[in-house]
Amino acid sequence: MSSSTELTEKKVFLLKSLDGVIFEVEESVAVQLEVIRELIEGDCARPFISLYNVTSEILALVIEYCKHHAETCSGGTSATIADEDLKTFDNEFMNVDENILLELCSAADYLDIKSLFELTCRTLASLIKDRTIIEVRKMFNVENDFSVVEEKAVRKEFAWAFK
Amino acid sequence: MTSKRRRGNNLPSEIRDRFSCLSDEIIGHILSFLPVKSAVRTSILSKRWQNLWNFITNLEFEENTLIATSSVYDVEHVLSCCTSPHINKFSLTVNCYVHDERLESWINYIIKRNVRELRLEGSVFPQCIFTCKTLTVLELESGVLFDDEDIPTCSDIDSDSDTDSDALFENKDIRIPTSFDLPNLKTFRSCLLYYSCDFMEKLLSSSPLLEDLTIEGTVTSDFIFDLSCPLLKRLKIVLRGRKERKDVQCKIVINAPNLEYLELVDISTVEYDVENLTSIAEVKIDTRWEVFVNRSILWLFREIDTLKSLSLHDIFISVLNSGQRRDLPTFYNMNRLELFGKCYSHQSRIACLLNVCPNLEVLILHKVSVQYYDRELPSLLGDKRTVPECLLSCLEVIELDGFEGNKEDMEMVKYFLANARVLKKLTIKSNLDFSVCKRLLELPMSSLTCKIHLC
Repeated sequence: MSSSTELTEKKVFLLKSLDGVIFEVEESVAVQLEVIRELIEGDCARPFISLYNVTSEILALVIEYCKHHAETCSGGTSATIADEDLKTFDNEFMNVDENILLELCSAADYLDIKSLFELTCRTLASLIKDRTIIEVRKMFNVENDFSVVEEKAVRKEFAWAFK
Repeated sequence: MTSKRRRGNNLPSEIRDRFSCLSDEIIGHILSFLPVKSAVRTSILSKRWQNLWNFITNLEFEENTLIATSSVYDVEHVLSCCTSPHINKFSLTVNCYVHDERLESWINYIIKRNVRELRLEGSVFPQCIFTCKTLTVLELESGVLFDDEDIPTCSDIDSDSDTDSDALFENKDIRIPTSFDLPNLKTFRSCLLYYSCDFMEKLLSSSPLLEDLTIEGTVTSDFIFDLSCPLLKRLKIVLRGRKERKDVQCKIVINAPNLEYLELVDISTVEYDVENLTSIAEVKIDTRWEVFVNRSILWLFREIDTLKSLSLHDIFISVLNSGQRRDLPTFYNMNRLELFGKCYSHQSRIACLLNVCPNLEVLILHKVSVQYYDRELPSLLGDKRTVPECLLSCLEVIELDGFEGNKEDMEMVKYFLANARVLKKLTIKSNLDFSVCKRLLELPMSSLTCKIHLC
């Protein structure tokens, strides 16, 4: 790749996180963020884009995810091998604590990355599914603001679900 | 995707409700990945959560719902609470082979909510399913197809809930749905007690976008299915015959130029008329009938140009080795071969297949207990000095399932290790004692990069 034409050949975008950290990403990665793809298609994409709702810690992870997906999909490997590879990557990528998982989910929604949004939602659901109500409250700091009477009433309404 | 509505999150993260960074709609979406019961249970987490599950768009009732009893309440209650205008998925198991207006009213309700995926098990299937234009996935299991008349009443089966439904309907006049309109259906999976040619024909002709078809059931009477679907990519047929009905004449016509995956399991006496499989890449056949093998092998080997992966029972090898089938074509694209058999075929027996797969990369051998088949396999290649081409140049993965460590097994491993020059991974699945493992690891290897995995 010749260095003088690199900028014109490979479009690069600078993404600025909430806490002011700047990330350089190639167009193939940037377009996975639907918000940015829409800007590019509408011809209003500037090379410098501020993302006000995403911290640098989360943005770094989001870019890692998009980069891997962009590379795997554009590589010459067959569809089934690429699928396997992405599955393995996604599984490992979701091996983070629940705070990061929630922030990734929120960021994927804000940046409009459908596959990451679905992946984080699915992972959060599995965390809820395997736990009791008390465990879920503890894990996600959910405060039980029902009175004893109120909680009893909800349990009674859906008694079949608590059997 | 969901709209953005967020709450302030200025509190330190240790005491903050961690879900506060997500909108109600997003949480509703997360709950859609849970079975209905688990989603409803989250209503007592806190006041915020009390109605969040109402956003769910996947309604999967995991447990059996007995229509005849009072537990019917939960389905109706859930449907009345869910406010989403679109239902993505509805899944329900009802063990009750009676026509029930309530089931029909639920289905009608979800059809109005533009349901895309529908799975029903163990019921009479209401006619309205087959004219649901928004459906992309339809799964019907162990149910019965017929319309309102001529169906048993509750009293017919209430007396004995374990009644064999198969026997129950043996003499009933089973009718099939009359109108079909499934313009968006891409996947149809069915496991039915009865199939009728008329039903299959109408269903297929009303679903022009069908890509994935599974037919599972028992063959009870003569039929001809014409499975000629232009866009079909995956086809799985599991038909069991009945011992007392060996005379049943069944024929399946497959003409699917886009078919990539074909799986045929435990075939009865079905005859296949196959043509135009120009895209086929993967074929799995599990059968016990030699007569079927003889018939099917001809069409299977006509499609060699595109075949990349093949999974066979070793009964095939005996046919391949016998008589006039000696001149096998060459499978240039084949990179994965999987064989099932009662013992690992000696290398001289599978050599005939390895010899015609010059680009094979993965070889998997399974040992399965086989009662129905006990015939000595003839040895075709007496000359062990001729090592198949794929072993010398491309075979990278060998997997042996059910390894026992007897003399024949050890001989085979020894042969592979000595001749597979580019082998990267040999996986042996079995519970071997230490001394056998030690002997395995001491065998000479011709590949410099081979790793042996014992599991």
